[in-house]
Amino acid sequence: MSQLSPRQRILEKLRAAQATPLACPDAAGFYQPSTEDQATRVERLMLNMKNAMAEVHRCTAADLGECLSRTCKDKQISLLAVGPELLADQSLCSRLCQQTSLLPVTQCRADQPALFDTVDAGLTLTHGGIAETGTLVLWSGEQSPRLLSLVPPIHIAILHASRVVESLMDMMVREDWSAGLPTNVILISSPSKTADIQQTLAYGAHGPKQLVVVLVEDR
Amino acid sequence: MNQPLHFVPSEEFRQRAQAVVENPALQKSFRGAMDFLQTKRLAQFPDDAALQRLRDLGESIRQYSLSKLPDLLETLETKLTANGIQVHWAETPEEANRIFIDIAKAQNARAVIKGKSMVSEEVELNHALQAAGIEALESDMGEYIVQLADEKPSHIIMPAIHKTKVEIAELFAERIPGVDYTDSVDELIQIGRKVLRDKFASADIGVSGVNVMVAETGTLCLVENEGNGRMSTTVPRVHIAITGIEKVVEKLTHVPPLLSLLTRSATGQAITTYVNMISSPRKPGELDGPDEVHLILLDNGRTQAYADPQLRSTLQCIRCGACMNHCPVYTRIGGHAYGTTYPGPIGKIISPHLLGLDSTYALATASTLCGACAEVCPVRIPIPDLLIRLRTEAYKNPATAGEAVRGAGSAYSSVAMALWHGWAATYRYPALYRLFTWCASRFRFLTPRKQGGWTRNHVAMQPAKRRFRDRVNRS
Repeated sequence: MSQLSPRQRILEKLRAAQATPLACPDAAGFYQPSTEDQATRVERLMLNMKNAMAEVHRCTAADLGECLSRTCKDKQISLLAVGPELLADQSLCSRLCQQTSLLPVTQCRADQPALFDTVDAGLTLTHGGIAETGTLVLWSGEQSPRLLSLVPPIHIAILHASRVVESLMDMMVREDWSAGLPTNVILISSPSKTADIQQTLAYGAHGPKQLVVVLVEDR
Repeated sequence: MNQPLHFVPSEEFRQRAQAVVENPALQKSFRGAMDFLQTKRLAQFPDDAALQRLRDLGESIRQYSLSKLPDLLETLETKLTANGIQVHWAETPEEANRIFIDIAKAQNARAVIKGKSMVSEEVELNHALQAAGIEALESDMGEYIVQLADEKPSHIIMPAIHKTKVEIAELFAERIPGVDYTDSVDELIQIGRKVLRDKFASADIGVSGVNVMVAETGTLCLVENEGNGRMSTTVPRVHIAITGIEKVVEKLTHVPPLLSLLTRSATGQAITTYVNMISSPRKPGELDGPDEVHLILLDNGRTQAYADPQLRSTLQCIRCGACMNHCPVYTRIGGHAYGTTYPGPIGKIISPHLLGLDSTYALATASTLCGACAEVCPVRIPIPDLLIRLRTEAYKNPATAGEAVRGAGSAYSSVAMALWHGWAATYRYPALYRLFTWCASRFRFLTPRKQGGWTRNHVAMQPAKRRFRDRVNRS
């Protein structure tokens, strides 16, 4: 009986095939660089997101607090979960506190039951946006928990207009993602949805039923 | 709970297919669903030339990755391990399930919540876990529906495509405690959401598949629309991913073209709601995510396909399901008739490697070779060529069939082969041919009335009274 491990046997069988090595395809070079100006690109992102049933608001950096408060009011959000990335912004938090209660998410897993049961919305920053598909990019990290954009019924995401690029490829190459990725990168392009029952589209399958994008004009 | 159904061998394939063809409700269900998916896909590819260029790129990325497969798997393992993800290798479904159960036992796990994974269907993980006393619950809405009905997915992307909303409404009312009948799709989805949310919060282990693995960064990419995949890979303390060894690419830049081809070909979406890229377990200081991430790399016959240069292209597949959505056979017989985890054209060419040609050769014969599958395949797998190859393998003489495909020669019949040899000889030797045609017209009254499949729809064939050559000579 062979003493080889499954790993060794699989690799041995694959090596025995002696496949001829092929040239590495230049996937990045396949895409034409975009010549569009940033404003048009941002417009396209917003349009794509709207078409995918996301709600879109715009504001300047100065009236971000105002815009978020208004959103909380309109949506009757009484408990808003916020991660360390935004808790650091004291003026923003105090402005939000005038409108709604904040749940600071700062301890590992401690807030999970609240996120599942009582929180109305999660507020997050975004790493950037992708115009081509109308997509938000979120990087996880110590400051940015993963569940805020997933578990509460509403996800509110702050996107800075200067962080919008043409495509996923564009962002990967420009920021040299291959040098190292965080624990989790999430691309979000609409509220959670499904068409698993008779091809009928329904929102809020397991993730947020509503996705609100607040675009901060920082150019 | 009832025992889950096993995949059934394809011996009764004809009977199962016939039953679906004679069921008007199922015919309507599949036709409607396929029309819907075809239209949505087409809308995503308005520029045919651009589509062909992207398919070329997709094909070359997959072929390149396969050409370096053993090296890429080793790089992937090194990188994942450095990132803190534990890598396991399994040659057989039994080994894969054993790995699952060992991890679950080490965690004292009682409940597992599953994101969508066809490879977990392939190894019949739910069955194995249940036998080990561990509850396994599907969380993809379609998978949840088929699990609730004790059925198997009938499509790799839309598992409950064979069910109407009325059937699902009845199923929910019957099987979920405290649920009243409703056939509003929104309400049905909210019922599923509510049931499964509690399970996400309490499950010990989350299971998922993988769409693409990236060797250079040690990253697992998953696409989905519902959010259950993110839930399964973020909420429980342990995440176990399982996938086939072929799903690896070298570079991160190889991912965007494949994702774009995958989602547009599968469901006609420019991108899915979520694209989830996982590169490590929760790091110290991070506030959520699993403490352990495991990856199980499954062979289960893939190395057999890999060994043969022609059959290797089977492994280019990115599991979009476009081939089945465009297959005239799938559209009429649906996914269950095949009796295999993967139905449709891709199922016909991958299943012989997973299960052996002896129990699956009938599948390759159920094709008109119309070529629609190859025309839409985003990575240009020459599916009709592979079907012909598998037919040839199945009908070879077992004594000389070789070892390219397990079960080769299993459809061989010495009588049939002798008849073909006789037929060939008749056409090779003019004297024999003249004798044959003379006998055929002389003894035409002996022609059987029933001629197998032919007389089911046609009048019986009979040789002419006078041979063509006699008529020509007379005049």
